[in-house]
Amino acid sequence: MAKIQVDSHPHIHSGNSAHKYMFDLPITTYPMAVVAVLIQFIFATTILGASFADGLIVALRAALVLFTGVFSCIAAESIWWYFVGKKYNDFAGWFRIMATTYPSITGMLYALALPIGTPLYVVLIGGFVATIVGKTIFGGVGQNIFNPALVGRAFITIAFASLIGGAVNYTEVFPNIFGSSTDAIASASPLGSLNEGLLSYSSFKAIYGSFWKLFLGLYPSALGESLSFWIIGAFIYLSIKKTINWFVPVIYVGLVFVMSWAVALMTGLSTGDGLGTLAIYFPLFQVLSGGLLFGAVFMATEPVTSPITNRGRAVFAVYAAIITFAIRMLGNAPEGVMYAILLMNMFSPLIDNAFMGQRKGTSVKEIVFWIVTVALIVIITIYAGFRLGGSF
Amino acid sequence: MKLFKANKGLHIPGHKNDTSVLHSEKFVTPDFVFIPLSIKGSDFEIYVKPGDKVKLGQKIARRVEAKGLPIVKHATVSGEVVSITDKKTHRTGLPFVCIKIKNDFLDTLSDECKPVENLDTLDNTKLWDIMSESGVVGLGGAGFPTYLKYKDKADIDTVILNGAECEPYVTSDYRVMLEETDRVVDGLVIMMKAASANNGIIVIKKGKKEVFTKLVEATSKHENIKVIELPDEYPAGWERQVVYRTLKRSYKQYPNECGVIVNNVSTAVAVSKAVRDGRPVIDRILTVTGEGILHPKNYLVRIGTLSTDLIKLSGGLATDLGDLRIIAGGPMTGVAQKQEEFVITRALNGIVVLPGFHTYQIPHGQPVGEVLLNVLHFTEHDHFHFEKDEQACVRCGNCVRHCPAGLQPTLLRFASLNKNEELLVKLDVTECINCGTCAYVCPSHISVNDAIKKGKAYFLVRNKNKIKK
Repeated sequence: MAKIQVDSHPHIHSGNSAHKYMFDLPITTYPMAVVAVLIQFIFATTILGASFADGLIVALRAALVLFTGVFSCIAAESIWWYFVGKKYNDFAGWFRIMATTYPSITGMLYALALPIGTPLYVVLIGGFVATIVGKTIFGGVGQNIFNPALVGRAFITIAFASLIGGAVNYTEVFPNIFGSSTDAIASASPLGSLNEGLLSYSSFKAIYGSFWKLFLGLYPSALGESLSFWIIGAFIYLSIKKTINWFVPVIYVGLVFVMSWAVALMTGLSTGDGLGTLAIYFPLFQVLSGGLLFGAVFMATEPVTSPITNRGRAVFAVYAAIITFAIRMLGNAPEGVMYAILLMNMFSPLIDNAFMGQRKGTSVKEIVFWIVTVALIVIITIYAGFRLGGSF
Repeated sequence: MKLFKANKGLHIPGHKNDTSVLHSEKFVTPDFVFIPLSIKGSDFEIYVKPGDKVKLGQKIARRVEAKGLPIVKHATVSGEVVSITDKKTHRTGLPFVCIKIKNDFLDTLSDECKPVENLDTLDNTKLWDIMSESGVVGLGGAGFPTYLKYKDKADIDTVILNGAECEPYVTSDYRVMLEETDRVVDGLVIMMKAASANNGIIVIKKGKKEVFTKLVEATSKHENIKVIELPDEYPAGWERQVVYRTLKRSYKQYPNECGVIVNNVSTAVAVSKAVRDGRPVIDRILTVTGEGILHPKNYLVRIGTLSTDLIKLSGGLATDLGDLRIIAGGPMTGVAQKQEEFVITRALNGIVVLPGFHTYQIPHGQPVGEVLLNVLHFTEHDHFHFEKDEQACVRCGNCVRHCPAGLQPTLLRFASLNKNEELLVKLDVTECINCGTCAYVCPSHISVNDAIKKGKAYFLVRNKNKIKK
C-alpha cells in the first residue's frame, strides 16, 4: 500500500540541483587541464625548440603537477572525513562524501594555478593546506571563508617562496633540456616583469614576440592561468548556463584594463606601431598575464566566498580590481590577483551585511558609497601614474 | 514611502492543460456535508442542535465577534443536523469541529434567501451587510471576510479583480471566468458600488486568449472596467504585485492605503449571487488534478463535501506511482494532508495529488560496482519529484535573485535557525509572503521557506509579547 507523504510546501521543484550546478566547473576545467598539457608540449617544442622526446618530458611534468594537485585535495578530504569527521567507513559512504563536497573541483582549480616547476611534494602540501585549512576546518562545503584553492596557492607562494619563484623559469626547471638556451622567453617571468617597473613595447615584443602567443598561452606561466582563449570560452559557457554572474569577471577585468591603460597613457608608453598605438599592448598584457582572467572567471565568482546579492557581488568585483591594480602598480608582490580575491573574500560578510533587507530602490548611502569608490579609482590611478614617472 | 519594485518573476510550468478545457461538473449530492467551525468550536454561536431540520442557505453558526473575525456559516444542503461535535481535517491539516448535516436531496431553499429587487435602492451599508450575512470570504485562498475590506474605507477609487491564478495545476478561477463571465462582471459592478469606486480592473495572466476575449466582450458595456494582462510568472497574483503592475502604486500593509481593493474573481461571483439572488456561499468551483489522479476534473461542489467523494469521482488515486502527496490548494503554497479525507472549505481552490518525493541515499555497505552504477542517479531530476537529499547551501544566490519580495532567503534561513531577532529585523522578515519560490529554485533542495516561516512566527510571537509588556 502506497503511503501518503507529508511535507512543507512547495511540493514541486524546478529540477535544479547542486550536482548540475557544480558539474559545470569540471566540464570546463578538466578539458582545460588536457589543453594545458598540450600547450606545454607545443611551447617546449616550437618556441623553445626542444626535441619531441624532450617535449614529452615537459608535458609529463605538467601532467604530474596537475595530477598531484587534484590527488592531494581528494586525499586530504578523504582523510579528514574518515579520521576527524568520522562520516564514512566504506566505499559507498566515501563516494557520497566525495560527490557532495566537490574536492575534485577545488583540486583542479588549485592545480591549474601552479607553475610547471613546482616540486611535487610542495604541490602535495599545498593541496592538504588548501583542503584542510581552507575548507574542512570550517565545516566543509558552504562554510568556508576563503577560496580553498587560493588558500593553498597563497600558502605555497609564501612558505616555499624560493622554490616557487623559479618555477616558471624553464632553464632552472629543466636544466638538462633548456640549460643552454639563450631564448629570452625561456627565463622570462611575466609575473616578475609585471612589477619590474613598466614594460616598454620594445621589450614586450622582444620577450613575447606577438600578442597571439600571449593569447594562446605560449609563454612561461602557471599551467592554467596562461590559457586565455580557453578561459574566455569557459566564461561564455558558464555565463550562458548562469553558473557564474557574468558581470563579476567583466567588471573585474574591465576595471583593471581601464586603470592600467590610463597609467600607460600617462607615462607615455605609446609608440605608434602595431599594438603600441595608444599603448594598447600594456593593458592587454596586464589582463592576459598574471592569472587575472583565471582568477576573475574561476575564483572571484566562487559563490560560497562571495557576497550573496548581485549588488554585493558588483562591489566585490570593483574592489578586487582596485586591490589588484594597487598591488601590481604600487606593491612588490607578483601575485596581485590572488591576494586581492583573498582580501575581498574576507570582506564578503561585511558586504552582505550592508545589502541586507528588502530591496527598495537605491539608498543615499549607496550613492555616496559609489561616489567615494569612483573617486578612489581616479585618485589611485593618478597616483600610480605619477609614481611610475608619468605626467598629464 | 519607498516604491515597491516588482522583481522579475519566475516562470513555473503550469500543468494546467489537464483541466483547463474541462467544463466544471456539478456535484451537489453528497450524503453528508461537514461545515467546519474552528479547532475547538467554542468561539462559534451555533443556532442548530442535532435532530433539527435545516434548509439550503440557512444560517447555522456565527462566530462571536469578541473571539475573532466575524464569519457566518450556512447550511449548504437541506436535511437534518446529525451532530455538532464531529471532527474532520480542515485544509490547514488541523482537526476542526464540524456541523454534520445529512442531505435529503431536496435542496429546499431557506426563507432567508430573498433576492434584491432593485440594486439602486441599496446604499453601501446595506451592501456590506449582505456581504457579511452571506458569508462571502476571500475565495482565492485567504478566507478573509470580504466585507471588512469595504467597511468604512474612504477614498477607494479602484477595485481590482484578481484572476491571475499563478498556482500551477489549479484552474478553478480560469473556469469561473469562462463559465460565469457575466457574474464576474456583475460582481465587480456591485463591489465598485460598495466601495464607491469609479474604476474596475480585471487582471488575468498573459496567453489566456479565450478568457481575455470573453471578458472584453462582457465588459464592453462598462466603460470604466478594464481587462489587464499580467506576465506569466509566479507569483503574479500576489496582491502587492497586482497593484504595482496595474496602477504603479505601492502600499505598506493593506492596499486600501493607496485607494485600491483587491478581490478574487470567485469572490465577485459570490458577491453577485449574494446580492442578486440572495444566495449565500454554498458552492464553489474547484479543481481535482495532479499526476496521482486518474481523471483530473473541475467540479462545482457544495461547501463541506469530503475530498474522498471528489477523488472517488475522479477515478481514484493512481496505484502505480508509489507514495503520493495529497495537497489541499495549489502545489506551491498548499498544505500536504496526512490522509485522503478532509473537508472542502470556502477558500479551497483545488486538490492536487502528486507523486511522492525521492529519498535517495546511497545505502551503507553497498558494493563498489552498484555505487558506480548509481552515479547516474545524481543528475536525474524531474519537475514534480521533490528531491529530499538536502545538501549544504553553497550561497549560489538563486533564491535572492528570484525572491519576489526582494529579500535574502538564505540569510533569513540562517537567522531563523539561530533565532537571531536582531538579524531578522534587519532582513525584513515580516515582508516574507512564504510563496515558496526560494525552495522551488534551490539547487541544494533545502526547504528554505519552511525555516523562514518558523522564524517569522517566532519573531511575531516574541514581538507581540514585547508590546504587551
